[in-house]
Amino acid sequence: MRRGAAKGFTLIETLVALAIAAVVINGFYSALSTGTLLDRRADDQAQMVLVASTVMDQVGIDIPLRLGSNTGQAEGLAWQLVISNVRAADMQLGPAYENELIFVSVSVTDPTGDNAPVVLRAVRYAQSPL
Amino acid sequence: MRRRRSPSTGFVLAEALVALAVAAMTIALLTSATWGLNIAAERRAAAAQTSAVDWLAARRALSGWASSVTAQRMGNSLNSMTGTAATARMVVVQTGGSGATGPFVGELRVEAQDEDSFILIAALHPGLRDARVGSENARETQVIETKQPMRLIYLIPSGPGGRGVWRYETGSGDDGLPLAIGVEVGTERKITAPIHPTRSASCLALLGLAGVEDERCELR
Repeated sequence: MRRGAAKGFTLIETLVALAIAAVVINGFYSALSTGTLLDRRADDQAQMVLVASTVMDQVGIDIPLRLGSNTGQAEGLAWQLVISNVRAADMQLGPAYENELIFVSVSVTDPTGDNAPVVLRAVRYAQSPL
Repeated sequence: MRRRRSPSTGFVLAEALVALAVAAMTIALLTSATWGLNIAAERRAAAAQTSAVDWLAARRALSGWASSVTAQRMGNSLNSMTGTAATARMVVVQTGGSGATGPFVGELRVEAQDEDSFILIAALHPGLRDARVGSENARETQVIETKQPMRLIYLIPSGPGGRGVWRYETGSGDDGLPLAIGVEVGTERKITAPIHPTRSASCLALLGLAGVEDERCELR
C-alpha cells in the first residue's frame, strides 16, 4: 500500500487550529470574568455609597450634630463619622458665629480591602451654634 | 476466497482527533456559558429590586419628596401633610420641575402585592389642595419592591428634649410637620429623609422676606 494517500490535516494545521481556538476561548473567558468582576465591584461601591448616605442622613436625627467622631458597622461595612467645625473665614461667608457651620464627613471602608473607601462630605448649618 | 482489502475511506486519525477536540471545546463552551447565565440569573433574582442601586434611587426619591413639603396657605399647615404607615400625602404648591400646572398632592403609598411582595409607589394627584383626599387620575411610579413588609414612619417633633419620636402616623397635625420621614423594612429603617422646610413656601411667596419672621408662616 502506498503511504501518503491520507488527505487529513497535518500536525501543523491541527496545532494552529487549536492555538487559534485557545486564543478565542481565552478572549471570551477574559471578557466574561472581567464583566463579572466589574459588576460585583459596582454593586459593592453602590452598597458603600448607600451606607455612607444612610449615616449622613441620620446625622442630626439619630446621631446628634455634635463635634466629635463616631464609628459603626452596617451591611458588613465599617463607617466612620467625623463632625468638626468650619471656620467661616475659610468659606468666605462673611460674619458667622463660631461653630455655626459644621463639617460632616462619613467614610466607609470595606474590611476585606477589595474596594476603595467611599467618603461623603457635607457642611451643615447649626441653628444654635455648638 | 481471500477478501481484498479496500482503501480506507473513513476519517484519518488526525481528522478524528480534531473533530473530537472541536466537539469537546464546543461542549465546554456551552457548559460554561450555561453556568455563567445561571449564576447571573441567580444574582439578578437575589437582587430582585432590592440592590444597593435601587435603594439609592429610592432614597433620592424620598429625599426629593421630603424636601418638597410646604403648606397650602398662610399660617395653615393643617391638612398640608398627612401620613400613616401605608400612605403619606402632602400638598405641593411649587410647580417648578414637577410637570404640574398648579398645586398637587404628592403621595407615597405602600401596597402589598403578595405575602412576600411589597411595593412603594410614588403618585402625583394634580389639582388637589387637601392632603386628606386622593384622586383616580394620579400619575404613579413604582419606587422599590421588597420581600419584607414595608412601612412609612415619621419623626414627630415632640417627646423628651424635643428631639422627636418615631411614629407610624403623623396624627392630627397639632405637633406640626414631622422632622423626618423614613421607610422601614421589617424592623429596620432603611431610608431616613429629613424634612427641612420650616416655613410655608406659599406664605413666603406672599409676604416676601418678612414671612421668615412671621409666625403665621411657621410649619413647625
